[in-house]
Amino acid sequence: MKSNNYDVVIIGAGPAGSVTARHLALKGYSVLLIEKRPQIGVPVRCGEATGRRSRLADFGPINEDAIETDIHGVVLYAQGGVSIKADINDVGLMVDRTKFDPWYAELAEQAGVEVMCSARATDIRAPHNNERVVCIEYQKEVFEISARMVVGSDGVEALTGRWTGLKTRHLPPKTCTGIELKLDVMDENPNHLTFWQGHDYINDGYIWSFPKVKSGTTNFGAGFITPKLGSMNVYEAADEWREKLYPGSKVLGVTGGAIPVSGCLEESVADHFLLVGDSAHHTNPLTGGGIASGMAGGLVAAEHIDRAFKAGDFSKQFLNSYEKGILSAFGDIHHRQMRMRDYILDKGADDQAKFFKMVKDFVDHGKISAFVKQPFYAVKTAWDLNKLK
Amino acid sequence: MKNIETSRSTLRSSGSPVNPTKRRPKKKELLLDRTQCISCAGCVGMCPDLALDMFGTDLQIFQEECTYCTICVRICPVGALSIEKQ
Repeated sequence: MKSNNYDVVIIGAGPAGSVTARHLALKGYSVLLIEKRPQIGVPVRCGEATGRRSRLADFGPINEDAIETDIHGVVLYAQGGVSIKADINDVGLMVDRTKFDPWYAELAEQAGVEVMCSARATDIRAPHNNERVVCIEYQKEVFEISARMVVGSDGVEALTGRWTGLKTRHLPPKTCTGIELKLDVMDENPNHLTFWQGHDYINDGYIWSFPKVKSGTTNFGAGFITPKLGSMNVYEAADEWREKLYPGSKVLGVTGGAIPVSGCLEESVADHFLLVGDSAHHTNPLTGGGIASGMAGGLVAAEHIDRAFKAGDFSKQFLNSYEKGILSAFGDIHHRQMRMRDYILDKGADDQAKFFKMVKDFVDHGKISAFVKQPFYAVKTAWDLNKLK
Repeated sequence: MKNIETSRSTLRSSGSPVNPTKRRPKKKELLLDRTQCISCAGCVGMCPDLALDMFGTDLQIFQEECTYCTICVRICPVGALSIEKQ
């Protein structure tokens, strides 16, 4: 550490933390970005599918080396034998998180951020003298760093939020658990994301298969709402389905983790503090994806921290505008998608098959964008129209 | 500058204080199978007692804090955690 006083200290160098750090540094603030793991991006705990190229471009230059596949559509095998294939141009990207995460940390470093690995935050003290003190353990020594603003982007652990008195811990069913097996096979649709959902497969979640064309592997995984004690864990479930869907495939690696699926936190700010990314539950409650929304959250955070510095006001009341900014950026969409998810999961097998047939109608008639943007209203309209027929 | 041991105790006192009435006589133990653990840290965020912590990629269990609520056993995607009766 070059000094013990920074404008902003950011805890966690994932994509969300790095984007926040970079955009604050570009605005001229002194920023310290710390990461507890020795190497940024390792181990991966993610499905590695993210948003479209144009959206990613908002967060800075794109590292072509980290991009594995350009995704041009989605295949869904659903309840009742319904299979939906939607060809959508440039719908997303498959990335290699071991290259993707360090790239954004490096961009932040180039913008003037001080990045430290193997540095663990152990505590965030209550605000005092218009600043907060962060205790950082680095090479078996504890340093006390003071900052006007502290940002927690420590992912699912979200310990930073708990130290500052925010309720980041949501019990099941607001938390999912997921596993991902790296397989040595390639799916028949190498430019599509493939999903299996419904009572025939896994109802409390879904099975996925994301192709990584460049490295010739497939990310095959399963995720569902945290099961009851003693029932089958997600690894056993995923391995069982691997045998059924990709017989004879070899597992090259296993990653996994918990996914917050509660929609954005009601409270993600405190005095001199805010949360961003997975720790603020910026993950999509329908798909569980959180790379792009976490990074979008980082942009919103940087903008509102800048405002706070200009106004000289770091109180919770002032920072509340950040939560509103998040809601208008993607939070409201996430809440709608959460209603959509609950709607699907609550349905019985027959109703679910009917529902997926309806989705297939949408796709076959080229109305997929209406469905993606406003799923709940789209379904409601279709349901009402069906009744009229 | 302090050593790590004191920093951990300040963390616990400033984090969520352990309620002494929650403590039961130790008849159980939370066990971790390190060969299976994939360092995803899902359990760390879910633990109500801050009894789990990730040091780099190494998961540590603080047995004296654990109240055996089993949430970590449920959340663990690979089944690396288990609670054993002694």
